[in-house]
Amino acid sequence: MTNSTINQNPLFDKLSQPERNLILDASIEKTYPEDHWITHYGSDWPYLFLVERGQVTALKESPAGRSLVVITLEVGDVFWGAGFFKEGVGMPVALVASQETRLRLWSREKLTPFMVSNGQFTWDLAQLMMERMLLASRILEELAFQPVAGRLAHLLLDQLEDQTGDVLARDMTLDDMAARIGSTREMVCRHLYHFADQGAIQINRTEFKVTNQKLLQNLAQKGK
Amino acid sequence: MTDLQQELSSKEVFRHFPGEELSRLVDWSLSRKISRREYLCHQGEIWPYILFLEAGQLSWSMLSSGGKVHQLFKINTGEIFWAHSFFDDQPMPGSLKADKTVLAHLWSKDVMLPLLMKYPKAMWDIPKKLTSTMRNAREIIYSLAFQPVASRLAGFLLDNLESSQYDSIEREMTLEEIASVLATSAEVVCRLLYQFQADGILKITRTQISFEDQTALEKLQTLSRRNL
Repeated sequence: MTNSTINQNPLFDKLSQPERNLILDASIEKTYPEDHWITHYGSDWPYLFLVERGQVTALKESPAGRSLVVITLEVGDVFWGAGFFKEGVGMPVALVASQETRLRLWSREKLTPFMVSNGQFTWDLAQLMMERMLLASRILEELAFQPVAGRLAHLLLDQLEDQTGDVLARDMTLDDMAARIGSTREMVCRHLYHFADQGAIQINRTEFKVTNQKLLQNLAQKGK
Repeated sequence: MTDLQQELSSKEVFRHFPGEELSRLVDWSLSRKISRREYLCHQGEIWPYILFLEAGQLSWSMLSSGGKVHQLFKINTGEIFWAHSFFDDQPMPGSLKADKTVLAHLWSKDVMLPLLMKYPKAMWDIPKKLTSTMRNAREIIYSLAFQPVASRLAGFLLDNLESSQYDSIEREMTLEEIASVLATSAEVVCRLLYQFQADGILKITRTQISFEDQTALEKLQTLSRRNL
């Protein structure tokens, strides 16, 4: 068994090699096919995990069937079920493997004795939790202060950052986009065509071309 | 044992410190008394403290770059607050403002972190505490993402009713303050309140809101955007 993923992760940075071996021995490895639901909203899922391969989406569904993507976890990211820290507390989100995904998991039962005796590791984990809380704080800020148009413009700009050039492949459906900005597909569609009418983007069946990035940036700032 | 030491000895994290350490913590605490509407810390400031609220109430709010305020939660007497900067030495993402006269005891990271490292059981309580805080943040996110303002207002009124012993609540908050909790404008809050009155759900006077049809308000609270 290789522990390279643990060795490279900042959370395990300050542990000695024997401690890392101990941690590794306490873990289990699981692989999930694409679109597999790792755990459901409300379930007692007492695990901490490290994404070793693939991608995990944490999402919340409303009673009316709408979704909100809270976080997307990539290789090297660490996350946890609420039940890992508090027994019997249900999952606040569902976790879905967006691609074929391999996780390294630690159960509450296995890791708690180590954490209770290792303050530094727990402190590093608390700092990671605070990072996630700041992410939640940013989502809150966007939902509270930005209208849908601003959030959508922001999403397009974020995607543009990951690309070279001014063309974005349409690899997300309108529903996917709506789930990332806390809106509906109808609103996303309406605003995309409004952006196109204003000359910020050009839309075709397979891609968006950003024709006026400055205008898109202005739209992302609007209403804040 | 002082009253403060007694109070702390039953609180998360602090309960794992032995008596002599708690006594030292009481000696090292910084006590701050601030009046209503004064700020204990400001958004953007690096504020690496833990606070215990001995008296009063604080509200945690975020300010947008355009000057809009969104009030997220309250810290009540007897509660402990762990500031974001305590963990990451980065600026605070929100501000703490006194709703009433406040007496708070603060401990800096320099004082607290060595003690937490010395007592890992106390440290283990921190992620548990943060889990609850994250849960609250998620609930707010979900309500903003999925619920229309009318539902959020209905929920807000019902929460207030729950803490009142009567079937009415005092109008202690201004429309602006309610709007900042619901992430909307005072105009929308005003319009919705009078819409609820016209629908026979509430009766509004200058000083009070009385509940005429609580069931209708509960139904409104569970509405999601798609149902509208």
